[in-house]
Amino acid sequence: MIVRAVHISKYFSIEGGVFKRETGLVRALEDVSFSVEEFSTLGIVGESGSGKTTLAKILVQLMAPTKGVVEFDGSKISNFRKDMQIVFQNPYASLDPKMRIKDTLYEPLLIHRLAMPKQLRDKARELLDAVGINEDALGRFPAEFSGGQRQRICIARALATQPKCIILDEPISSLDLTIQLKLLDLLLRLKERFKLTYLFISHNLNVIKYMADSVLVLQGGRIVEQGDMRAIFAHPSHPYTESLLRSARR
Amino acid sequence: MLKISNLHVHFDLDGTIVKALCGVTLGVNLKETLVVAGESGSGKTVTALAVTRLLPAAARVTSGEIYFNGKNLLLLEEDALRKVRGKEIAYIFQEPGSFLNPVYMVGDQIMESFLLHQGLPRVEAFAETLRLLELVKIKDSRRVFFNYPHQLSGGMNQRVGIAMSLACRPKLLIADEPTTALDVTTETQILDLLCELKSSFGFSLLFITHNLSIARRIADRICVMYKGQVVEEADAERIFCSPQHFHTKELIHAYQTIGTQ
Repeated sequence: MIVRAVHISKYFSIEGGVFKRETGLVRALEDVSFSVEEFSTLGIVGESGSGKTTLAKILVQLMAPTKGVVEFDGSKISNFRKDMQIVFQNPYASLDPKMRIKDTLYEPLLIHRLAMPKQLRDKARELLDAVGINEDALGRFPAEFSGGQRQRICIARALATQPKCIILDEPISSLDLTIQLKLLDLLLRLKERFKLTYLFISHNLNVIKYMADSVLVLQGGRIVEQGDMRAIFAHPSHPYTESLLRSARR
Repeated sequence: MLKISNLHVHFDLDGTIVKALCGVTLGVNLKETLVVAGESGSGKTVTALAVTRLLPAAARVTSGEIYFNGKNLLLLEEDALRKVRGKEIAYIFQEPGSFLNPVYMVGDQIMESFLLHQGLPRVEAFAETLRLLELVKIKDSRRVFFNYPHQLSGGMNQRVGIAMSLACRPKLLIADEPTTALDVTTETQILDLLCELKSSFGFSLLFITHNLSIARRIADRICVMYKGQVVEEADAERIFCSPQHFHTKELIHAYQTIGTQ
């Protein structure tokens, strides 16, 4: 088990009135537990508002859970920030528009002391090559790239720290279908090559089917179903999963 | 009815020439639905905008012809073209929020075309607008008339957009990814509405999408674009049964593996 979430809950309080007193509570996640095997892909499905992204943020410790803990295999995950990376949904928002691509890629390498200044350029070139972007991208700005290319650059940045696990939060939802499929194939190749574990968040069950080994279905912040991907596709036990499956079938 | 032949469009971006269209040839027949499919950057939108010369300033049509009911639109005077644009050829765009003016009530924006293009008196224009809003299945048209775009949902705004485009009873409607910004259920409603209006109004439809499942639902013929060219054109069924070009196969493969309904 590389990642284990134990009874995670996350509540957001709603404040109102003059004294900003708590007037209500949004239960974004309620008692979520699961574990992910090394080198496997866990798919997390649910419609918008089901708590997928909150879960992703808690897993990479961008947000603290209200209750519960996330455990990382101590012996294998030594440096958390380095070993766990995330790729966000909107590649237009997750790249700094004023940073050249090379600076975006150098930053993690420098922070985690993974390259000497002299090696930076070669490292960055290797990363771009791995995601199928030409090296003349190094001197350019994000605005010069299409959505698909930007997402490849985000993946390269995530790979820079040689992570063990990458969380992919709807990484392809804003792209055309053909480009989506190319990116999925790239992610599958990278997983083999770098021995990665993925947590793949999506609202599209067909994408999950293409990528994942096991799946977890979220509805209103609760897990309504989890287990082996094939088994759940063949015999969904929860009506919500069934309705998701129906919308995925053509 | 619409015939585009060998259209070349170049963009001049600070001295670098980008060839957006390299010889596009396609035609739309009377009362037909032609779907133009292709991935982003393939030139679909540029083709659509070129038809009534709505391209941005950096774009230049370097060669080619566009005939609409016998008139060459590329050679038409600006005044004459303005009579075609909006009146005979109308558009629906992708972002319902972006083509509506946020500081005018939606009813006024629809009514404008009755006043300008058809010269109706205000009272009649108002009545016509309400009738049109009902035609696009907006139930309380009297309330919606006085709403601003931000008070309506994306799907409602898109209905307003459709109403606006139909105000002059166009002969050709160009819909550029009109459902991409909407969720699946609303998408289905809008597509059904378009098909229904098409048969009652009797316009031809040029529909642009990257999504083959939509193409399959509405198209008579499909035209696949790739890198600024039309690489395949055939009846909808033929495209799905025996795709010829590799990009068509790519689109179909993507749709079959990860596409939703």
